[in-house]
Parts: sequence; structure tokens; C-alpha cells
Amino acid sequence: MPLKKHLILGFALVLFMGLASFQGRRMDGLRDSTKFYRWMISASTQARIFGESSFSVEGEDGPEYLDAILFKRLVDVTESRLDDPQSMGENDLDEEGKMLPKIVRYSNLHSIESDGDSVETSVASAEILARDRKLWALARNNETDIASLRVDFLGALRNGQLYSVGEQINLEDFYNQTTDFGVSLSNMFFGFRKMAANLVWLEVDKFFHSGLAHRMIPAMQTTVALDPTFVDAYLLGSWHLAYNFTAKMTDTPWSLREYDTRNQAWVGQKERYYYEAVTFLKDGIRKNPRNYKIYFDLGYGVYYEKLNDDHNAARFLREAIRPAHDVWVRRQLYRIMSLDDQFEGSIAGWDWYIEQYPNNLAAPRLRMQSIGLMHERDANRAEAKAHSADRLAELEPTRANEWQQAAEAARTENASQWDEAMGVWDELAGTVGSADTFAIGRRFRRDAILKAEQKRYSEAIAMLDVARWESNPFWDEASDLMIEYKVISGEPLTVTELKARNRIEERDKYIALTPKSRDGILYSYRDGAWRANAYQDQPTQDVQPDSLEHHRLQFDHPQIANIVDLGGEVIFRVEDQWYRFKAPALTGVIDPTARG
Amino acid sequence: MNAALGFTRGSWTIAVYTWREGMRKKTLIGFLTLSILVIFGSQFMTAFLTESRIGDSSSDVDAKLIKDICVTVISLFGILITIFISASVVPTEVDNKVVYTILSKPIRRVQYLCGKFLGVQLIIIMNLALMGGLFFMALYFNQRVLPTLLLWSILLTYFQFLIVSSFTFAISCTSSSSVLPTIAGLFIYITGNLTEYLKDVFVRSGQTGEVLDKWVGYAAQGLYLVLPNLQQFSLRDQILYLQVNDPPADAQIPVLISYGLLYAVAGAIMSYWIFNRKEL
Repeated sequence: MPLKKHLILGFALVLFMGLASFQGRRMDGLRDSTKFYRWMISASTQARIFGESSFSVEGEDGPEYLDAILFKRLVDVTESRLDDPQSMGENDLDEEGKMLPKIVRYSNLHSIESDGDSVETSVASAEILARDRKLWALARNNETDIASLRVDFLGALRNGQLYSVGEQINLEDFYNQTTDFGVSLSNMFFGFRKMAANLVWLEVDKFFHSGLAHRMIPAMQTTVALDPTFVDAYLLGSWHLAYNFTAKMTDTPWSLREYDTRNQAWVGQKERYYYEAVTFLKDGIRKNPRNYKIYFDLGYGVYYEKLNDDHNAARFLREAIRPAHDVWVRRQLYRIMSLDDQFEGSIAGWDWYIEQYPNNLAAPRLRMQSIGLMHERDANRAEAKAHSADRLAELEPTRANEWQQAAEAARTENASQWDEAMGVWDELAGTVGSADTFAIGRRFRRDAILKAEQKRYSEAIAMLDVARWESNPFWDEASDLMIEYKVISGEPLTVTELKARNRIEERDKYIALTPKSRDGILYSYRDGAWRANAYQDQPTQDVQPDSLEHHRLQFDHPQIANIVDLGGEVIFRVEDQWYRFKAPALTGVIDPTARG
Repeated sequence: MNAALGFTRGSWTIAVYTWREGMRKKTLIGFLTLSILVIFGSQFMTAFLTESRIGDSSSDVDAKLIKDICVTVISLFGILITIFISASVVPTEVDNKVVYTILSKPIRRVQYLCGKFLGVQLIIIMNLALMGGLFFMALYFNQRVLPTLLLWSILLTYFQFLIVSSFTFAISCTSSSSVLPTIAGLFIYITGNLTEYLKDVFVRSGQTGEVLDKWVGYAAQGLYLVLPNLQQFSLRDQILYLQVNDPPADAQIPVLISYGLLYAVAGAIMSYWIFNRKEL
């Protein structure tokens, strides 16, 4: 073959290899941008759900994590490049009431407003796609600041300095594993990693049937390490943890529990499994931030069903309806919002739902329940208002007449709200063929309370005894009320009731200072005071209990009666002013946050 | 014009002949049958799992298992078929002297090679189409939705096979036995999947400050730039599994297809260069 031909072939070979190599580098760039894009979405979601503070990891051994710094830079570089998304009311705010950064609002889907007016604010899928395309263009942008951020992100990812990408078995290189089969674990399987995950999952199933629970946990973790997008592994894994492992365990006695500062709860062996399920699902959220099933299982399956934490249940169910979701998700959300005293949001949600699904039988009934409970709440507020007006008449003798009239008006309002509530319960309980047992329970409850107020305790107790058999949802509350009235009236308690009372007293001692929700706002006890989650050392106005200020404030804003009822010092917000209700500290309770 | 037509006709005849011969190979039929059986069996794999339902929420494990099994089977058997066929078409004819008969006809070496290469691709495409079709049906019967994105995934799988096939074919031109090219083909596939390591070596090089350390890094980078990286084709999984937090794949597909084509052309040029030097 002549030399010329060799040269031509050699040149052609080099040319095509060079061009292929060039395309390879373009693909490298696109894959890096893919990782960066995923991190943008995941970090933004985590910033909204868990708060930006979750990026600052303290007390961890290992590398210095750069999540907080990188996310701050991401917020800065995207602030001017993204359009301001249409305001979505409280969806734009974080748990602390602060406006979320633009990247967070832009990359997250919006669903409902809880203020009642315009419930259906779901962003159309076309707009979601358009936003994702914009974010994808941003992830590929080669302008200096973004390119430099992307390089630093990839460096941090490579060096295991990103905590937010996962906390199980050191999954720092998760983004490699999930998507691009990067160096490490995935290469051992030459791209058959998902198959390996399936085989390990079959082992998990086998262990489950053999009763080898202790071997299931590492196998489940291995499964999701091999395939972090295996959503069903997260769902079924958490189900095993929260339900199957604990099925034959009894609740840990309170005295044997330890306080888990991370989850702010008292836990024993059984309860630890619940929180393992929470951690497992939260890890799933980090890896699959747009899969509604994980949010749903966390909110409904674990927080609501197992931990009786309606606030967190509602919080995660609100997340579950952001991505495309099944119809029942909203039903559970609106129901649980009602349990967390978020009545307005719940009713607005039901209105929208009934409009969308007019044939659903449960929705109108559950909507009525929310309305009934809202009237009961308003009745209680009117009662608190009347109480404050009475006290103000005593504290301000010069305006006694004015306050007495106000108290009378509040009592009228109270009676009117009770009438409204009872009207709802009557309507629901009177439905022929499908009487609502919840409504029956509420009717009995009201009657029993009225009788107790008239000191007719025996009648009230007898009524509650009947009521709890008529209304299953009312069983626990009716039993507790029976014990309460028996104690007040001096009637002897049965052995079961005595045991129950001891259990309740023991429990109350422990949970008195654990986080509690009031009207949908979470309060945590720290440094000797309850604080609303949004409180960040803003100046406060002191309010002494049973003082003029206290009752004036409570008269104007009767909802605070429910807040100051937490016991001890409480920091709360009314409109834009922060108050510190300086009640004496609770005694005889255990402060889990007290050091030493 | 006539010359071009004649060239194409000659190559096409050889391609069809190669395809017919290839489809008769027992090894290939064995691989294909096995893969089809496993893909078909993937429908029943989920029977080993407990049906788990939480509330009204149904589990997607079935569909996931079917996808995982089928993707694995197509990748595994597909690459074996690719390597075996690419490694054997030329050496077999050299070994049984058929090549002399063909090249004594008015057929140019380049025509012969093009025909052989095209024939190999026809066999790969046919096998992939069969396996992909069955995968398509398995998914359709499971989900009752036409899995059209699967077609993109299969297309990208083909371009991955094309790279392995072209370089295996080039190596097979040096040999009169199919054993060496087959081993080389497997080696190409394995190293192609491990190319990412070279990138990692380069990124982490220079940390000790030693000169050698730096040079090892440069060498790794050089190799990374030249060698095909088969992990780039993991995009096919992204398309197939369609996670909601994945970016749009439309920017990557054309780049990836051209990536596969350019390496394939480079492999074909290499084949011609080697085959032209061969004394026949």
C-alpha cells in the first residue's frame, strides 16, 4: 500500500477519533450538568422541606460539608436569572414564615393555598415543563459564575463533601450512582446495578418471611444504595420498619424511653423503628424529590398512623400534592389538616375537591366535619373572649359596662357558634342509612360537657359511656372525659380506669414539653420557653398572665388562649408583633431539653 | 454514478450473505433464544415477591423488575451477540479460505469489508429488534401503555453496540481465528465501561507532588480522551426509567448518536487499514 494511502487513512482515523473525543467531552459536560441540575432540584426541595439549616451539619465526623456554601451561591447566581414565579401565598414561605429564595420557589411545584380563596393554584404541567427547561438551560449555562459553581459542586461531589445528597452508608457519590454509573460501586456491575438491587431486594423479601428483621435493614439499605431511584424499596422498607417490625412489640414504658434530640421525641425500642422509617423515607426524598409516594407514606403512613403527629403528617401530605399524585392523597391531606386545626385550608381544599370530583361520597361528609370542628373552635374562641372581657371588667372598673357588654356579645357568639356546630353534627348524624359516627360522638361530647358544667357528672358519665360505644372515633376522648369527671365528682374509678389514669399522668409528664402544634403552627420548648418555629430572636413584648395586656390581647385575638395554654413561658406572634407570655414554668414535668 | 452503484450493490450482496450466514450460527441462536426466554420469564419473576400494597397504593415493583431484567438481558446477550458476530465474520472466511474466492472476483477489499461490516450490523439490529420488541410487549402487557420511550432507549443501546462492534471488527481483521477478537471484544466492552476510572485518576493525580504522579495523571487523561466511554450510554436508562427529577434528554441524544457514529467510522477506517495490509 502506498505511503500516501497510509497517510490519508492515518489522518482520517485521527480526525474521526478526534471528533468522537470532542463529542465525548460534550457528553461529559452534559452529564456534569445533569448532576448539577439534579442537585439544584434536590437541594431546593430540601431547603424548603427541611430548611436551609439542614445543610449545616454539626458534630459529624468526616469531611467538611459544603452544602450550605454551595446552596448560598446557587441562590445568588439564580436570583437575577430566573423570572419571579407567580406568587403562591404561603407556598412561598418557609416553615419560619420567611420568603423562600427564588430558585426554591421556581424549582418547586405549587399546589394549594390554605387561605381559602383560590385553592386551585396547581401550576399547569406545561408551565412545569417550561420551568424545568429553564433550569436545565441554567444548569448548562457557561457564564463564569454558574460554570465556577458547577465546577465547585462537582469537586465537592467527588470529594464526598455534599451531605445533602444522602446520609445512608456514605452515599456521597449518589449522583454518579443514580444516573451516570460513575466510578465506584456501580462499575462493579458494569451497568447492571439495578439488577443487583433487585436481587438484594428479593433477599429482603426472603428475610421478611423468615422473620429475620435484623438482617432486613442492612439489605434494604444496600438495595437503595445500589439503586437510589428504587422508590418501592423506600416505601416497602419503611412499611416494614414502621409496621411489621413493631407489630408484636408493646409500647415502651415512658420511664424506659430516651429523648431523641434529632426527632424531638421520647423513644424506646419500638419507637426507634418508627423514626428509622422516617429517616429512611427522608433519605428517599433527597434522592427522589419529586415522587409523591414517598411524601405520602411519610406523612400518612408514618407520621399520622404511627406517630400521631398530625402537624408533620399535614406538612408532608402538602408536599405530596405538589407533584402529580393520586386522588386519595388530597382526601387524606384535607382530613389531616382538619385534625391539625387548619380548618380554613381544609374546607377550601374540600370545596375544590368536590368541584373536581362531584361523585365522591366521602368528600362532602368530611367537609362537613371540618366545618363542624371549625365552629367548635370558634365557639371556644368566643368563650375565651368572653372570659377575657369579664376579667377586663374587673381590671378596668372605669370601663366595666363596656366590657360586660362585650362579654355578653361574646357569649352570644359562643352560643351561636355552638348552634352552628350542632346543626352540622345533627345533619351528619341524622343522615338516614349512613349516620356519621364522628358527628354522633361530637353531639354526645357537647351534651356531656354541658351536663358537667351543670355539675350533673353522673349523667355526663353515663352519657359518655353510651357515646363511646356509639361512636368509635370518640372512644378515647370519651374514656378520658369519663375518668376526668369521675375524679372531679369523687366517683370510684374502675381498675382499668385507674391504670389508664396512671398511664396518662405518666405520659403527660414526659410529653408536656415536646413540640406541639397550635392552629397549624409548631411550638417547640427550648431554653425554658415555648417558641413558635418562626421565632428567631426578634424583640418581644412581655405579657404577664391574667394581666390587663393579657386579656386585652386575648379579647382582640382569642386564638391565643389555645397557645398560652401550652403552659409555662410562650413566645408567639400575633400579626407582626412577637409576645412573650410569662407564665410560671410547669412543674412536675420532665424537660428533655434541659442540659445536664 | 455507475461505480458507486456497483460498489453499493457488491457490498449489499455480501452484507445479505453475511447476515444469512450469521443468523444460522448456533451460538447466536442460542444466545437469542436464551435472552428471549429470560425476557419472557421476566413477567413471572415478580411472582417471587410478596404482593405488597399500602392502603390503596399499588406497587410499581412489577414494572421495575421487568424493566431491570429486560435491560440487563438485552445489554448482556446483546453485547455477547455483537462481540461473537463481529469477531467471527472475517476470521472464519480467512480460515476456511472463502475470502480468497470472494476477493478473486471483481470485488474490492473495501467493498468486501463494507459488506461484512454492514452484515454484522444487520445481525445486531435484527437481534436487538427481536429482544426490544419482546421487551416492548412485556412492558405493554404489564402497564397497558405503549412504552414509546423504550424505542429511544433501544436506539442508544444499538449505538453502544456499534462502537464495540466496530473495534472488535477491526481487531478481527488482524486474525485468522475468532478467539483473539472475541477476547479483545470483551476486553473493549469491559474497559469501555471502566473508562471513567481514568478520569478519576486524572482528577486525583498530582496530590503527592511527585512528577510521576503527575505524568500518570496526564497519561490517564490522554487515554480518557481517546478511548470510547460506554458509560455515556447510561442515558438510555434515564430515558427508560423517566424519573421526574431528570432533565430533558433531547440535548444529549443527538450528541450521543454522533458519538457512537464517529467512533464506529474510526473503527471502520482502522479495519480497512489493517485489512488492506493483510496478505491475502
